[in-house]
Amino acid sequence: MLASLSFLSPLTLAAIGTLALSLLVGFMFLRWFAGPPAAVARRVGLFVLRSLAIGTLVLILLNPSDVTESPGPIDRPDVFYLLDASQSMSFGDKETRFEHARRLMSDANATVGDRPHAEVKLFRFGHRLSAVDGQKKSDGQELNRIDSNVSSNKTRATEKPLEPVDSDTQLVTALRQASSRFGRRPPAGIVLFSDGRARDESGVDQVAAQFAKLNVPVHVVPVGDTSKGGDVAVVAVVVPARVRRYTSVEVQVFLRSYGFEGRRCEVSLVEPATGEASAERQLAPAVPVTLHDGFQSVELSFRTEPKTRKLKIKVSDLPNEVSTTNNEFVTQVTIDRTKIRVLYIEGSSQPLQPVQRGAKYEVRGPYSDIQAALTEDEDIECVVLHAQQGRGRLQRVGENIQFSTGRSFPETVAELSAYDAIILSDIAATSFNDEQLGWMEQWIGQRGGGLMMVGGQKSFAAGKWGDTPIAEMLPIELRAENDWLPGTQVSVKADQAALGHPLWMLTSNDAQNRDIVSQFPAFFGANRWGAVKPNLTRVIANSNLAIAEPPVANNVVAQTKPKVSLVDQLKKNLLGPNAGGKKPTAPTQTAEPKPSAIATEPLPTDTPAIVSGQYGRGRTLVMAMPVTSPWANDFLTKWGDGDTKYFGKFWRNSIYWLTESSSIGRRRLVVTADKKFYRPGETIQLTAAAFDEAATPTGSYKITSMIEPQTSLTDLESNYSPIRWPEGKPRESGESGPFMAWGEEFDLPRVDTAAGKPAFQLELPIADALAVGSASQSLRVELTAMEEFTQVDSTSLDIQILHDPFEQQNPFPNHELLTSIAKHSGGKVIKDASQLADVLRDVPLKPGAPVVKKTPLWPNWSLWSWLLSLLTVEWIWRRMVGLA
Amino acid sequence: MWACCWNHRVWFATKNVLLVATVLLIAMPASSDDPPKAEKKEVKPVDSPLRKARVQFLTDAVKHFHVAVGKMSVEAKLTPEPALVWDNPVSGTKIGILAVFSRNGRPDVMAQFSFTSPQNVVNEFHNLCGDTLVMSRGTQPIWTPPETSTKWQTLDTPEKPAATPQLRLIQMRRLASTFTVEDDFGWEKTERHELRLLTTPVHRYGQPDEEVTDGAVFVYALATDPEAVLMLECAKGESGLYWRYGLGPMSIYALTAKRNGDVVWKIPERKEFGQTKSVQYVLPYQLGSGEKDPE
Repeated sequence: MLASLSFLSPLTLAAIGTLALSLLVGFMFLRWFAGPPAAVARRVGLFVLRSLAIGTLVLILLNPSDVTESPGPIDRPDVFYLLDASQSMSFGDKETRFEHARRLMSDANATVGDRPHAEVKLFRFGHRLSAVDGQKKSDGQELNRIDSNVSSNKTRATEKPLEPVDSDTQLVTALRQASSRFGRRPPAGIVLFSDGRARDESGVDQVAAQFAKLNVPVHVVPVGDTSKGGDVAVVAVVVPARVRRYTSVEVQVFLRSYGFEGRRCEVSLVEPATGEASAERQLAPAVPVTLHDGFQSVELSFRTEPKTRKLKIKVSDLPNEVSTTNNEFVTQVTIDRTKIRVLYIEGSSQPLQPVQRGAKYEVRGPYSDIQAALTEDEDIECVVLHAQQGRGRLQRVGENIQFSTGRSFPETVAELSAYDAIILSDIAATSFNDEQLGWMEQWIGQRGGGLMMVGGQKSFAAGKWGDTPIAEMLPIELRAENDWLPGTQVSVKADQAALGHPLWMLTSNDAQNRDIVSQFPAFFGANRWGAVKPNLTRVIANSNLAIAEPPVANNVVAQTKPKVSLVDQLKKNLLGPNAGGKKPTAPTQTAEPKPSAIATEPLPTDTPAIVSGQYGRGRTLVMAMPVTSPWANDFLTKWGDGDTKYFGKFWRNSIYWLTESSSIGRRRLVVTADKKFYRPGETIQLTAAAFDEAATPTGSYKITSMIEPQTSLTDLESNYSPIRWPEGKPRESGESGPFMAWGEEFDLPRVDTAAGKPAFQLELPIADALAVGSASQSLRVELTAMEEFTQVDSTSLDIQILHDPFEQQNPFPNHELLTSIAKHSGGKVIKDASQLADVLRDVPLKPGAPVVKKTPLWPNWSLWSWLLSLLTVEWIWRRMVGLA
Repeated sequence: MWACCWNHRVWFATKNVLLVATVLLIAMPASSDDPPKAEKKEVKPVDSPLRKARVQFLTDAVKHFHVAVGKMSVEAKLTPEPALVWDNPVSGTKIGILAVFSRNGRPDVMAQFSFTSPQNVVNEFHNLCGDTLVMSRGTQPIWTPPETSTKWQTLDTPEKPAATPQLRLIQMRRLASTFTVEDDFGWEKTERHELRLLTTPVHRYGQPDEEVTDGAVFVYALATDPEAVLMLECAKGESGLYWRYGLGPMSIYALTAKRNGDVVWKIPERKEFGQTKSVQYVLPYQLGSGEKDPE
């Protein structure tokens, strides 16, 4: 940078001379007319002062300036970096292809340093080309900027992340789009960082040749190891987004393999480690798979637990794989904490027992143990109805085991449908009227409720259930005669084939579980069924019966001796002093049914004792043994040590299994799809069922729906979903394209079922290919039941569309394609960072005109102070000597 | 929902008698081996005319109430149609409606009127407004809540508000799904229920040229009975549009709202009935002149 002092007067020399001459002539005329100055004014000092003032003014007029001259900016041509950001660039072991490309950029940057070089403009491509950062930076900073962007993956908010996430590679399209970004002057070259695996390979040479004509060479940086054997990847997983606790969940895993035809590997399902200290936990046994080139699916299942949130699906690594990073897939399931409501109806004749608990008094009933076992789980609500002495009106047991006369068996099918399961224990069919039995059938068969009946003197055939709709629903045949066998000891043994049944999942340790199940306690008394029904049933346990004395009721369950005086006092208060204080006695089995012919038959061995089944949408479970004291004392108190009583877990398992199909009768709108997942080109059949307040299917609502993406709107490639607008269906949104816009509303027309029940159904055709070319696309169908302008209920359904993704079809790099591009465009094949640095340096650099900066010196306060001081001193002097 | 509480009050009054009855039953011997056939209780079918009459009764009943907000007593108008028709088979409520009073779209007061039985119709009002308000029936002021339990907070999300209401609805659904609400439901014995989000907002408001560009009210329900509401708004701020939310109770029971697992709002149980200074106003509905109990 140069600096110098120059006089940049706005007046020319002639003007200055003329001005000086004019002043001189004027002064002479003044002297000629006015004569010489007065003697008093002829002072040297005044003359000096005035001369200095005039000299300063002349200096200002001459405009002294500081002139600096800088060299002009070097005109540097652009070089475009085109970085492949498709998913195939994420392949690699120690270093992915994408990381390799980034490292080359950084190293080249370091090699170039501060020396003059081309200006780099970075673009990413996959689906399409987009600039990573278009902001101008000062000279010499752009390589650092590119390096910084590449390493921090930062882009502008509106752009895609600088990561290999695109599910397609449109290389030729990207090159064409790059040419539209040239501006007034084409770049000195293009550097293409890619593995060469592109969907649009054809015509690439012609495009490259066009770049040669423009004198824009396309240099290529091939990344990816070409010496690998093949690849296997988990490309998609279908699993319900919300699942209940302790339920069996199916996981559909989709694999894509290439180059490993006939090789065997394993697919496993684990819960990922949550921290450094924890380890992965296997959730299901690994499934062996024989690979074949292309797409294949594997089905796994696991049982949910309260804390399971994330799932990792892994396919075992194979030797010499292109990449092992795609051998895992992490997904998430959310635990549905919707309360499970159980209606437990107990008809046991066993007496109520007042029990003192600290300062409080409770009345314990035969239902207390099971109720406590179920409600130990905060997700289960257990409403108990008790028919005291096994007969009479069912009464609801309230807090502290007191009875509410206000509420009994649900008064409507809607109230019944608000439960998820019903347990019928030692209760006779005659406790229910025909309408109530019909409600049970409707609720379980159509809404997916669970039905459990356990043994007792008023259960099964002994309870006259044979002529009711419930008999049809049970998984076993009922005998015609009284089937209750009180004088038997029942040894129960889990069926070996059913050891994996959820009922037997008492601990997470398999060996310990088998041990616990083998100690399943004995019972007294059982109902003897006919045969197990053939369809959709499963024997879970068998039993052997032996003759034994019927047990006598005692206070086994109630450990605390009741204060009978309180009971007496209450009776006295109600009935007067003569009511007496007779202690309530626990009756023995005086109410036993009369012996029937069955009691005289020889006792069977290895007969089914616990059987599961299905009725309509619901599940059923029967136990031949009674589950209350005294018949099940061992079951209630002796199965497990100390505080670890397994009967509670057994009951909760039963309820979770029974309610797995429950479609939640508390909803007014339920929607289903005909498949768990779909392929492009298939049709989704969407069926909705609406219910009124009486839980009766209704067709009087209007069901509106819309398709929504599962991903954030910022990640959307298009405003349109991959669902085609159904042909012939009127459209009110104003859209006219073949596909539904996201959030576009449509109605589900009413299409009654063959049985005449109202339903709503619509077929939604899926596009032949996913627009984004991704492996899968998750959609959500949102449905709303409307009654004119008022909402009645709304719900949603997840839909997953699977696709065979291009990026996974052939994982090998295609360096030949890249070499061909370089060859036809006049570019180079760059193998390392120094070659890349050469490309940046070897560009024509043209220095620009120097930059001259002129700074006037007269706008300076010291100069003006000097001038003012001179004039002030001169004026004061003149006044002192008497001049005007 | 409060209808069940009223039932519980009756139940409370008789609990001593019930306990004695229980003890008596213990001592009573069985009179027969064969239990008698259960009586068939007549249950009126919920046919369409009856249902419509109940909904109409409840819709008309809300119109007797008027809400004035702020020092200027600006009337919060009742939306012409109920926002939701609901029922709760858990509590035994046969049918109910949710109504909205508002000045400029955002709900100031939300009302639930419910029918459990002909003599058991309950009105329930909740204050969602930060300003003072007076609710009157006819000309008689009956409720002047001193405060609201709704607090507005900025929603921390990378999701920028979309340009159109159609796309913003998609965003608001996604944002609402990040909230969960737990309800300790029950009079004496509470059961903690994780409430169900009705995925379609029951009320939508906002204007492009106003501070609140878009707003939606989502319901968290037990069955379809609203127990809490989430108001999500796209509002204009210094740096452009942003999301904010407010949660409000629709229940007297304790509610806890979480977002992505973290507690963001909590309100204790409030068993206050008919109190003029309470944050809610709950009472059995008093028939107006000429009104008859619904069937």
